[in-house]
Order: sequence, then structure tokens, then C-alpha cells
Amino acid sequence: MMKKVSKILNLLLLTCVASASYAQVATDLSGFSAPNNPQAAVKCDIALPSWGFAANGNWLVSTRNANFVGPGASVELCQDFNVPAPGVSGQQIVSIDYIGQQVFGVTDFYESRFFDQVGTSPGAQLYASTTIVSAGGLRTLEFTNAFRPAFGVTYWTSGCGVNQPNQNCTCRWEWDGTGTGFGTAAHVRYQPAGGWGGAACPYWTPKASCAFLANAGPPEQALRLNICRNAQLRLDPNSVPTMTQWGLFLFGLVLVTLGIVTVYNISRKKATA
Amino acid sequence: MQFPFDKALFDKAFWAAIILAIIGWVIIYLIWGEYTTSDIIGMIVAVPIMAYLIQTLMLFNKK
Repeated sequence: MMKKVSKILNLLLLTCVASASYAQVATDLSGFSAPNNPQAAVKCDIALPSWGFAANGNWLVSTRNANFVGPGASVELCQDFNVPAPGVSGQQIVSIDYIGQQVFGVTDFYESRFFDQVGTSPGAQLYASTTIVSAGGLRTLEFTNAFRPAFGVTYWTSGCGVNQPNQNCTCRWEWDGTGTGFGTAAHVRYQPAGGWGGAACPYWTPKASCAFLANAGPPEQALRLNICRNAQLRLDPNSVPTMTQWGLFLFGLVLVTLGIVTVYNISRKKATA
Repeated sequence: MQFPFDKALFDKAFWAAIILAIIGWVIIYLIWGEYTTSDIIGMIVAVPIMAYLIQTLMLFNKK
């Protein structure tokens, strides 16, 4: 009798373990709609819809005048963003997409820069990276723990194609004409064949105040910030702990254990009766 | 509710649970390609419970 019960319980246990393993794989995206944008190649339990200017087919196409002044001179266009706090734990901003086309050909490399905000303009540079993944019209930077934008904080960013040997930063991204979510309109700094700042427009001046850019294109850059739930769960100080899958597994394990203990107690009582 | 406990059996069951945990680590790495903090915490909690579960199952076979 006891051996029969043991066999049945072993079978039940195997079934539980197998179903738990399947559940770990199957529940990754269950109950959530698929994101409507390509996501960065990071480990996400759930890739959430991105935040930023959506692709709406209304981007400025003739970016030449807006984003490039000519040989020996260039402009750096900077756009602010502030991703609202989601109100749900376990979410991170995992990457940023700069949306556009290389209408001037491929540059030597790309560089993404981030600044804090002073007043209503870009302030000190917080981070710069050239680890940019290019795919079609997208230039994607995946954030690491070296720098990751926080929710509810205003940052400024510029995405640049950089030409060597002078390292002139030539921003060639397309601009969205309809977005209003980023607050302050783009700022620009102008490099007339030398250091930043010049007669044409002051250092980090609003784009609308810069004479040769004022009427060139919509006011804000097409950006997309990708957000993941339970993102970047790696062994580092900033990882976001989650017990979702483990919690389910442990809960099931405890239930099975209690059930088996109960059956054991009942069978012991019957055996001694 | 009484929780049956046999130390000798639990020792054996604990080793079995350790082996299952090692297999679990391999499976986690094969599926997700990385280890997370929650994997460590979850495994630390799961191993003793699994050991006790195995011990209880072994009690059925004990005369």
C-alpha cells in the first residue's frame, strides 16, 4: 500500500516539476501584448512599449540644412527627455534609439552623449559612448550600469555621426514634426571649423534661436527609449531582484511538500489503527 | 500537522537535492544564459524544501 502511494506521489512530483519548467518558459510574455517596436537585445522578462516619438511617417526628410552646415563646421543637436516614473517596480530604461537615415553616407563611427539639465538647457556631460548598434535607420545604444537614465529625471542627449580625423560631430538624424512629449525643444551648439560656439549661434542655444536652423525642420528629434520589465537581471549592484518565477516554483514546491506530508500522516494513522 | 523527520534519510535526501540543484543551474544557464540574484536566493530556499520533500517520499518506502 505504502509503496503504491509512494509511486503515485513520485509521479505527481515529476508532473509538477515538468509543468513548472514549462511555465518558466511559457509565461515570459503571457498576458501582455507584444511590443510595437523593435527591442534592444537585452534580457527582458517583458519588453514594454517604448516611450518617445513614434514613427509617424512625418519626419523631416531634408535634414541637410537642419543638421549639417558644411565642411569644417558642424552642429550638435541635443534633445531632452524625461521618462515618467512607471509606478511599477522592476522596470528599467534599457536602450535608446536614434531614428533617422544616413543621407550623407556612413560616418566613421557614432557617438551618443548625455547631459544633465541646467535651467532649460543641456548642462554637464554625464556620459558618452560609441558602442552604438546600427540597423537600418536606427542607431541603438544599450545602457549599462555605467550610465542608465532614471525615471522622472530630465536628460539631454545627442546622437552624432563622427568624422575623423577632426572628430567633427555631424548630427544627421531625422526629426519628428508632431511629438510634444519631450518638453523643451532641441538645443544646438555650432562648431565653425573650431571650438564650440561661434557667431552664428551661441553655445547650446535653442534651435529656434539659431538663425540658420530656426526654420529648418520640426523642433524635436525622433528618439525612442525602450523600457523593459525585470530588465538586466544580472549579478550587479543595480540589478532588479524578482521572485516572480522562483516565487511560483517555491509556492508549488511548498504545497506539494505539505500535501505529501499530509498523505504520509494519514497513511501512518491508517497503518497504526 | 506533524512533520516527520529522519535525520539519516534527510542527509541522503539533501545530497540528492544538491545534485538536482546542480542540474537546475545547468538548465538555467542553458535556457537563460545567465544567473541572477533571484536564482541564488531561490535555490538557497528551494534546496532544503526539496530535500525535505525527498526525505518524506523516502519515508514511504522505509519499513
